[in-house]
Amino acid sequence: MAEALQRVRARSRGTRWSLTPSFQARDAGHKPLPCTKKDVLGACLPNVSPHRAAARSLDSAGVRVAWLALAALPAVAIFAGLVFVILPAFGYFPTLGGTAFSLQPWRDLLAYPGLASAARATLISAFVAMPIALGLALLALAWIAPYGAVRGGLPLMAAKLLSWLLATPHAAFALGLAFLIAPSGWLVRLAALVLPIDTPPDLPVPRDPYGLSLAVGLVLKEMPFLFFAGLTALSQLDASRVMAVAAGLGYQPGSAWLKLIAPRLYTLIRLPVYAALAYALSAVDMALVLGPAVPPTLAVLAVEFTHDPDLARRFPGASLALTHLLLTLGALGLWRALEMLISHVLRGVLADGVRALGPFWRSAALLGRALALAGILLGALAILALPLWSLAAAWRFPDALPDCCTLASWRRALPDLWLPLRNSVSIALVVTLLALGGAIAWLTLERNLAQRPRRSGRTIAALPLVISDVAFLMGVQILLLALGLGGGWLPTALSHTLFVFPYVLLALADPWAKLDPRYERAAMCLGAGPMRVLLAVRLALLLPALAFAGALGCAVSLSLYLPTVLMGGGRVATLATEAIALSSGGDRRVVGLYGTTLALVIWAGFFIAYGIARRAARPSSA
Amino acid sequence: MTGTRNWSRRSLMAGGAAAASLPLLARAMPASARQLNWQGIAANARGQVVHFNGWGGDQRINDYVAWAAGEIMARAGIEVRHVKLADTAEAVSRIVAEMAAGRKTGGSVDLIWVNGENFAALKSRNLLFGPFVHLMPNFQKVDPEEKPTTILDFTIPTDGYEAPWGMAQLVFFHDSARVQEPPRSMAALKSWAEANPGRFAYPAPPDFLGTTFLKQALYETTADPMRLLRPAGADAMMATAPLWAFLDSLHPVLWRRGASFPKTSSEMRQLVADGETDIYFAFNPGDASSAIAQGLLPDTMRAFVPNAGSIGNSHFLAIPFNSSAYEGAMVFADFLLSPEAQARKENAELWGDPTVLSMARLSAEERKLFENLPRGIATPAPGELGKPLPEPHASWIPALEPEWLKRYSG
Repeated sequence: MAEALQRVRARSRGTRWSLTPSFQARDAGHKPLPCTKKDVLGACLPNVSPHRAAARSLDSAGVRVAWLALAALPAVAIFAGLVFVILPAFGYFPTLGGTAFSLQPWRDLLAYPGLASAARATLISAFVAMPIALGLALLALAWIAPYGAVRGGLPLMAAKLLSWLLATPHAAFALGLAFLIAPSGWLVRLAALVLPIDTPPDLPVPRDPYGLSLAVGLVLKEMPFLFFAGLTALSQLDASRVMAVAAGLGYQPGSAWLKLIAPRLYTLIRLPVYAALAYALSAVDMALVLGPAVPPTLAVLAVEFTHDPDLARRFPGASLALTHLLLTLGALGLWRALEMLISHVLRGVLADGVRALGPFWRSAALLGRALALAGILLGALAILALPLWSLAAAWRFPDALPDCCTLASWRRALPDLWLPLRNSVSIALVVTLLALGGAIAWLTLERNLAQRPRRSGRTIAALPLVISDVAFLMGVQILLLALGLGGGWLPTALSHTLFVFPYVLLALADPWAKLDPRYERAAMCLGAGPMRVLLAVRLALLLPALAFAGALGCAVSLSLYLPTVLMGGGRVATLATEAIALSSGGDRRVVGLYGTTLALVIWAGFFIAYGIARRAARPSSA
Repeated sequence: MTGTRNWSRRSLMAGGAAAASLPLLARAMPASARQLNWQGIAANARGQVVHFNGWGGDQRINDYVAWAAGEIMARAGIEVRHVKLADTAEAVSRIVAEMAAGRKTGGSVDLIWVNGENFAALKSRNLLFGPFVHLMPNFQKVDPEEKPTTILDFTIPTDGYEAPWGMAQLVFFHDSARVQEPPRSMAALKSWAEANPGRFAYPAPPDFLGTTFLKQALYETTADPMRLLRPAGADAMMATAPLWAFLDSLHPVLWRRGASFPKTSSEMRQLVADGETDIYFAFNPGDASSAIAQGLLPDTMRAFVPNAGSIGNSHFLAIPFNSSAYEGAMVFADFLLSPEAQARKENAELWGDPTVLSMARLSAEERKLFENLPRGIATPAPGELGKPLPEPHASWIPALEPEWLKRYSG
């Protein structure tokens, strides 16, 4: 994903769309290596890949143990978290006076008024949002980059906007969107320019009881995520050759894409899709801003239970967290079942041999493209609202624009902004370095393994993304409580690592695998040790990929809300938690300011990464 | 480090014991180091980091706390970090959890902004440090006879476990450009809402003001209001029945027909600012004035108070039993009680929260700070506020909040 982002940015600056330096496998085929004597190299280490050679120089069993330890870390944290949710969910937690197992927590939970409505809103928002987000992402992909390369013109602009949407943190985006779609919000204010509106219409958005406003937010935030996941995957599909063959067989491009590219593409982005579905069910930050108020979604309700002064509430709270976990697993299962159903239904269409798309598919594609474009614009407006508010002196209904511009809000907020900024950035940097180090170690150790443990290892690493974070984080919190430890900077940073690591690993894995092995072989022939080969050859050549993976890691950490709230013990205020805390504060100028700052920090990370990538690319193009 | 902290804590408590009749602390602590006085406390406080946990939902208050934090850093070398809570219950929950986990020192909350139910919850479980209020020099400027709620929090005696910070009385505000004759009773509010459907909203309990609205409505609808001052009993159902009947008839004409509620009092004010509703209420008589001064509300806002009177109380600062910076917390609380800080708080252009100090106990110079303070166009004159109604006994809240949730949630 980081690589795809990088490509869009490269393209936007008018350079060639592939910034990935020419040593990558794709290009290596038709570009001679600087050290050309292949035969010499081949004779040097026949049939031995440098990976295996590097690994062999270490003790093979030691490698395996080290990799297992690395892979076990997230698994152990999740397991511990789940155990300490399951115990109190069934009444056992001596610290709080629960000394015997019972079903009382479940009875208390079921007696809670509004539980059914909360579950309804949670499920509706996720299952309305996900198919739409996925559909729009695929349609946007078919339009913007059908073969993996971003087309020029309007598609390029749309891709650029999508990259901004992706880089905008959930909390900030939700705050902007809430202002956009409210009855007294920006859209109605803009409409009031031409329509006679002097009182806001009585519309139930945001915070409608069915969670549909939340669904809109999820669609707009997950669409860019799935789009860039798809863009990354497309580069693995060799789409242009497939399309050329299809064209030779008489398939029209749209038909060929739908029948030959889309199904394979989907199997490649299954993990991001599952992660997006899990996020939709467990989002707390977005649900606090856009979701229903009374009762809220299940994830928010679970957090409210842990904040109750009556500690007895933690028992039904644990039951609720466990319910949420089961609900997430059930939803993933349901999604899988839907996948199978749809593939069964579509099998006939895919294999019917019809070369041109019917009018239904054509109009659906057109409508989808329009919707995707509208969604992108809506998202861009939502983001734009934040800096605008932060500069407003006042912005009353029905003015289309604020009384602009003053730095008064910024001056007022600066002293208060410093601490959360420091916390956010320090956690993001430490966590990202940790994750990068872990990912490099992981990928180095992994080479020695067979396909099977490799794949299950990656599944374990990705577990925090697809499992209910509400459940295991609450368990970890209860565990900390049982150990007499409070929250703080360290638990927060460690919990962030669980979520940052899989993103960094996945972002790095692809470029890592693509790096032409002959570079390292050459270095080893010249007598470099495994460590030197890793540092001076592999990591140096992968610097752009490392930079983008780092920026992505920082972005993930900076956006995290729930882990910070649950692990921070009230002592770790970050930009994300402050923005959400202030969102109910009745001063949108300050909310806009915090949202803007958060987004700026994240964007700055990507710009730095882009700068590093450009510097790294320069010598190779010279 | 820990050793120093333990010593200072013990000696501070002993100092307190020496200063006044403190049966509880005198029992709990060896009276070894009695020499500690306010200077000693201030000396220990220097360099401490105080995590001040308070509701963070109002930027004007956050700005005020940021100002006070800057002052106390410059004057006493104490670093105050404002932990902005969405709901004070979060911090209470954390303190209770730390107690359960046996964390007797180094707690995460050093000073907490609290009153009513949350204070009752902390005090009844012995989770507060103190009594400490008599040690604070500026507490001498509070006159509990003049302002009884400075030592009586929702009918519960504070016993020196919390220092008063500000006075509060429920005041309603309306946009005079849209509402000519404001409804001065619950019955009038209902007929006004029927004539103007969708133009009034109140925050969903357990938001502090949402619950207060229920209490105010309970006062105005129940048969025997005096009954509310005593603990709720078996007759609670009967006493609250008229309230539910009133709300049942009010909700269909509320904002969004009562299907959704603002989550917080600030959100309720935001609705007025956005023109979605016309009336809101606050515990701070200067709320609308300061919001006007900061460009948050139109200057057509005006205040009104129910004819039957409105609920009044005080809000307080308390120190949890396991605070990691007692001395710093006390020095900061004392600064917040100082005439200078109190006058700034009462300034309607900044916050507009009335002082707890007694003018009679201030020096002429200190009194001057309070004269000619901007009062604001939307603040009721002192005579208009009327006698505050006392808070119902804290035990009425469990009779209100769960029932509300059962009736109107989902």
